[in-house]
Amino acid sequence: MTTKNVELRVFGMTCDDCARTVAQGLRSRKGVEEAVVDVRTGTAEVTIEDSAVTPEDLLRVPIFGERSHYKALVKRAG
Amino acid sequence: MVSRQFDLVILGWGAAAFSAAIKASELTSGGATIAMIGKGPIGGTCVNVGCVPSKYLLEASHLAFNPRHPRMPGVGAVGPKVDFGKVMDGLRAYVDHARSAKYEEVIRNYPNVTLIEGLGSFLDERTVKVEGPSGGEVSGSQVIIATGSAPTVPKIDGLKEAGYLTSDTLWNLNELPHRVAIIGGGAIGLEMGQALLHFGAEVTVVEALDSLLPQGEPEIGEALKKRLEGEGMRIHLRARVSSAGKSRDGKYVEVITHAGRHRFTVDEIIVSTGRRPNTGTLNLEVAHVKTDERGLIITDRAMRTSSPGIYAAGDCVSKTLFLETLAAREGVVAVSNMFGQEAEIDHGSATWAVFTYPQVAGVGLTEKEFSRKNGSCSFRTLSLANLTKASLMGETDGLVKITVDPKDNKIVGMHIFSPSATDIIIEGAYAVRHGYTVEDIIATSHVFPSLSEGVKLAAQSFIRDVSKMSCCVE
Ligand SMILES: Cc1cc2nc3c(=O)[nH]c(=O)nc-3n(C[C@H](O)[C@H](O)[C@H](O)COP(=O)(O)OP(=O)(O)OC[C@H]3O[C@@H](n4cnc5c(N)ncnc54)[C@H](O)[C@@H]3O)c2cc1C
Repeated sequence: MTTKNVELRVFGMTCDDCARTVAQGLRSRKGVEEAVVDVRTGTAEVTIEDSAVTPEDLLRVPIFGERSHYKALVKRAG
Repeated sequence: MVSRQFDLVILGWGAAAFSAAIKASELTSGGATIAMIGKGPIGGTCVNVGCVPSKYLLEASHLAFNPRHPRMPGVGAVGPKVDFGKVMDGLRAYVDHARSAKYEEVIRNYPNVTLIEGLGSFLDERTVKVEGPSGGEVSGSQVIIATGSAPTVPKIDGLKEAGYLTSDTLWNLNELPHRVAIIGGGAIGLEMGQALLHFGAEVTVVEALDSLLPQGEPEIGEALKKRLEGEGMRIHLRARVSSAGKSRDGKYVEVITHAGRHRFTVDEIIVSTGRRPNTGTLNLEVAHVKTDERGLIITDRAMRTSSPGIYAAGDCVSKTLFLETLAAREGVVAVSNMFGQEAEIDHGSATWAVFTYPQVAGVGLTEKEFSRKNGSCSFRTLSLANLTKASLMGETDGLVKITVDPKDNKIVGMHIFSPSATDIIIEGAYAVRHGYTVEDIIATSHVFPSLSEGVKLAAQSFIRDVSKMSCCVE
């Protein structure tokens, strides 16, 4: 199993609770090994299982859905 | 050199760039840092040298022309006093106003967007070098290429020495050129040609193809040609300008047609032979962005290029319709996908128009395009002579053509030549996009008498002969 580190730029976070919510949202996606979210830098460092999830798939987790307050784009795809 | 880092770098500051920047700002409540790199007046082609000045000039020209050519008995011809210099001052003032109101002031509301003046080119997939007053390097987590296009000028002997105008420079005119040659009879050439004709110029159009507006229905190209010639425009089809130069009383243009070679003298030459994408100096190879043989950037329907994280939108994209409306939509589609929201561009139901008088507008497939794809099709053409509103206006030159899929009667294309065609065509856009049938159109209320009723009559002509129909039949 190969893993990859992806950095996301996350918008819409204002407090540590937001960061926790986003991290949980990311971890709920199959293939996400770890997600560390920093509200100050507005970034998420995500470790993904290469064969199970692509960096773009991370943008489609419900936490970044159309109605959600949080939005993300890929800053570094590994 | 340290490069300035942004969430999104957009090359260009025209329609596609603006809509992308605004969409990205809205999605992130102004959180995304965006660099918009551009050269020349902000807003790009549409507001400065495209849609806005051309439509202004056409409107003014029709106001000058139509009162001189009344179409109803008992209404006499009057010639409005026209000061062409003042018209052009008004045009330039309007362009300045539109640029300021729709672009400069708008972007001030987005402090997250940084405008960087200069020409950008790729250093690698995420870094752009800017040649301009502030210069430097700019990097983006994501990049959109929206550098638009510019007029092409064919290699014609003596043309450069004779001097010519294009759609980039026409708007600087202060005096009406009395004799004008237009090289290229596409939408832009015909619009500029009719505008000058309506102000009183003698206009000759030289077109290499054998019909006008070949992207549309041939009946419309033919009817438009007849109308323009009726107004005094000279149109040479299957013709080529072989040389041009200065002459004793102006400029000469030498044309080769099937009848041979002949020369005529004009005061101004306007070149409208097409546009090429502004991609040649972008250094796309280092960014691994692929183009087609015309230099247009190849994208998928999500506006992704061949290079992950780089999108393209607007006139620099490989497609067949080059319109402000599509540029803006493509900018939105690119940004939506960048944020994981699935969106696709729908070129199939894009409306296009030529703002001559009467106007031409179309959506979807022509009869020929549908037949070529599917082997058969069904279509009807309604002459405006059968439409009460058009005939009482004396505007019977036009037509409405509807093409349907014979399998289910769903409308696949609509093409209109009529006053207000650019407004009426929206009915076709809904029909093509949502798969309405001719029965849906017939069952929908249309005002009587109106030009839009032409669409309904064209639909009815699938079930009966409308030339023998009472106007009260539903
Ligand atoms: C005469 C005329 C009439 C038209 N009428 C209509 C109409 O009625 N309706 C309609 O829908 N469409 C019309 N169009 C088409 C419409 O104007 C274009 O489709 C639209 O403006 C394209 O927008 P864009 O953002 O792709 O490109 P543009 O608006 O051309 O913007 C591109 C920008 O990128 C800049 N640029 C170029 N290279 C670089 C670089 N290397 N780095 C940074 N910046 C760069 C350019 O200077 C420009 O500012 C008309 C066009 C013309 C010429």
